[in-house]
Amino acid sequence: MNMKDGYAVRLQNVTKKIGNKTIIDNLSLDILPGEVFGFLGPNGAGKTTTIRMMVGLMAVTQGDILIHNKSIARNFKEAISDVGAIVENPELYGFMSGYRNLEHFANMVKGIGKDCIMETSRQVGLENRIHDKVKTYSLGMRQRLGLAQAILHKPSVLILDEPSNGLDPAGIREMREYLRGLAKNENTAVIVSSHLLAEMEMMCDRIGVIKDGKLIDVKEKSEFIHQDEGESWYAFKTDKLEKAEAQLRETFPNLEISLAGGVIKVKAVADTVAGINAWLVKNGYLVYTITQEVKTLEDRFLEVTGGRK
Amino acid sequence: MIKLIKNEMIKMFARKSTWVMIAFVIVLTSFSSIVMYKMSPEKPENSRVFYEQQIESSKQALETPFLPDYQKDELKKSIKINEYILENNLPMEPSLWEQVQDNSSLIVLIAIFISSAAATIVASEFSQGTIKLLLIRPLSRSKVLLSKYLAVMSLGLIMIVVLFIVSVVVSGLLFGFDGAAKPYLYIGSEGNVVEVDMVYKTMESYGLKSVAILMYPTLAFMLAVVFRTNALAQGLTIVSIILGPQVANALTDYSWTKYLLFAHTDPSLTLSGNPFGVSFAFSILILGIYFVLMNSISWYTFRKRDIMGQ
Ligand SMILES: Nc1ncnc2c1ncn2[C@@H]1O[C@H](COP(=O)(O)OP(=O)(O)OP(=O)(O)O)[C@@H](O)[C@H]1O
Ligand SMILES: [Mg+2]
Repeated sequence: MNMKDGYAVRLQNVTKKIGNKTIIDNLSLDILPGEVFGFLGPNGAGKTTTIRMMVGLMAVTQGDILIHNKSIARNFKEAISDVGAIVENPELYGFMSGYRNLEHFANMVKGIGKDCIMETSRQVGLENRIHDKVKTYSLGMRQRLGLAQAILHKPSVLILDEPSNGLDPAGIREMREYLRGLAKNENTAVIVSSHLLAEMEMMCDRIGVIKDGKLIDVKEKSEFIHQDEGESWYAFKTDKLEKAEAQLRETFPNLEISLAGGVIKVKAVADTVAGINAWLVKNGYLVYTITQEVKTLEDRFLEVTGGRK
Repeated sequence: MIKLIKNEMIKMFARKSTWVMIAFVIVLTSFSSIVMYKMSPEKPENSRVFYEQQIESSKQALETPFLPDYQKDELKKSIKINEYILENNLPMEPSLWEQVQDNSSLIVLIAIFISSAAATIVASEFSQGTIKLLLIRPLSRSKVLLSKYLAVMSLGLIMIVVLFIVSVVVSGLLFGFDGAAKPYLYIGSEGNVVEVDMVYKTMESYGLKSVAILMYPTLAFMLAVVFRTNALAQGLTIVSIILGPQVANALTDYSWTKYLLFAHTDPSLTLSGNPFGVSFAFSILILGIYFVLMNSISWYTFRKRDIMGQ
């Protein structure tokens, strides 16, 4: 199923309006075969809506979506045959066994046999429970079965909305490795969505940040992988706070400096912090403590998605 | 397509309710035949007396004050038919085919069941959320919907066949398979009694009453596509099945009632004098228009709909 050159998925100025509310606003994006792309954004950002449009469940109001150059709107059958997907929760038929569920979806495409169904259930680690009714499955098992129905026909574009939802840590890791392997070995374009930053950083080659229906940023792997070695906030506890702060501002005009909560906050790299300390001491200030404000993942998520401001 | 219909059949028969409905048809059909058997005169010699008594009691009922006109008509017709039987020495024992023909009135029950199945087959995909997985396959939405429609109609056919076979077998066991074929009698348009071959009449009844199995589930199907909730689609359809024809009958004075779907869902009425005074062809035309209209709405809506969260 390896695809010729070119883009796996192209979103061209995609806009979705419901009533007069714009839910997705002029979103353009190209995704390559063999890459793992992540949509990151807070609740209600428009991740699921974008995915629904990519798989043709919702019509675009303006713009176009191409899967291997085939429009999902105008050429649905051809375009969708390259796609496997989970949209929101993997809801399957609870009253049937996992196997029957897979058989059901296999019946809807050409050429998927029994052995293929069994192999897929092995791949997702469900072979022991595949003949049990789905209503007896745990959330994580349903997620696995959801993945199984998505990869059953070996699609070249795999779209998963919050795939780690409900999986245990080992399961998340397994899923991550499986998806990375798929991208690497089968040249599959894997598109995931999540609001878990750490998860996305470990899994994705690129992350598109969505907020209020707009794609506000696309981060390359190099931009997020070494984040922790960059600048961060340091808090200096000194005497004569106001005076110290004013003088620091003059001396270091390029740094972000502020006074808050009885400390001077400076955004800098570690070397600069040592320099500031030396300067303060040299100018007769007493430096009691210097603490680095370790950013929590939550802070970074809010920072990346522009949630705090 | 065959595979898709098979999929829908598997899902339908994975539901307990489908089996309960089939069991219900079997039990009710048997029950109806047994009740008829118990009510008929035990010895053939008593048959004449039985019919005379019937005529007598009908005549007495006619004396009841304030009897509505249509009930009077019914009684007069039944008297006429019973007198005709006695005058012409027709076979009087209830026969296998008479009972099978009688059981065709249970088709209304099947219409209710199939309507419920029609609403469920569409609405359940929405309520379970499985519609999302169903519609991201390389198949047009029209085809997916058609497979559901055909699966439901096949269930309808299965139920009619079950009803027919159970009727024949149970009635045959009770009344004997070789009973003399009594003709079917009704009052023709000139007020005379008309004889029709009972087996022919049975086939005709099953055929025409099956119109209800075509129309009502189509209505339920449409409502389920439009509203996506089972309760609403089923509720409205069942109310229509039960009240529709009654409302239409009650309003026969108004000329527009003849354009109502409910005035035509039993075209066998048209053949034996329709209260709306329309021809059989007119009935079929109206039914055809409703059929096309309802299905157009279903398909148009289903093809265009954005599939969103619940
Ligand atoms: N049927 C609808 N009518 C109007 N607005 C809707 C409808 N469905 C979704 N929305 C709006 O579209 C926006 C995007 O929703 P979407 O489900 O795509 O968000 P999401 O990024 O997937 O969020 P989450 O992280 O919670 O899954 C939300 O503001 C939501 O309120
Ligand atoms: Mg979502």
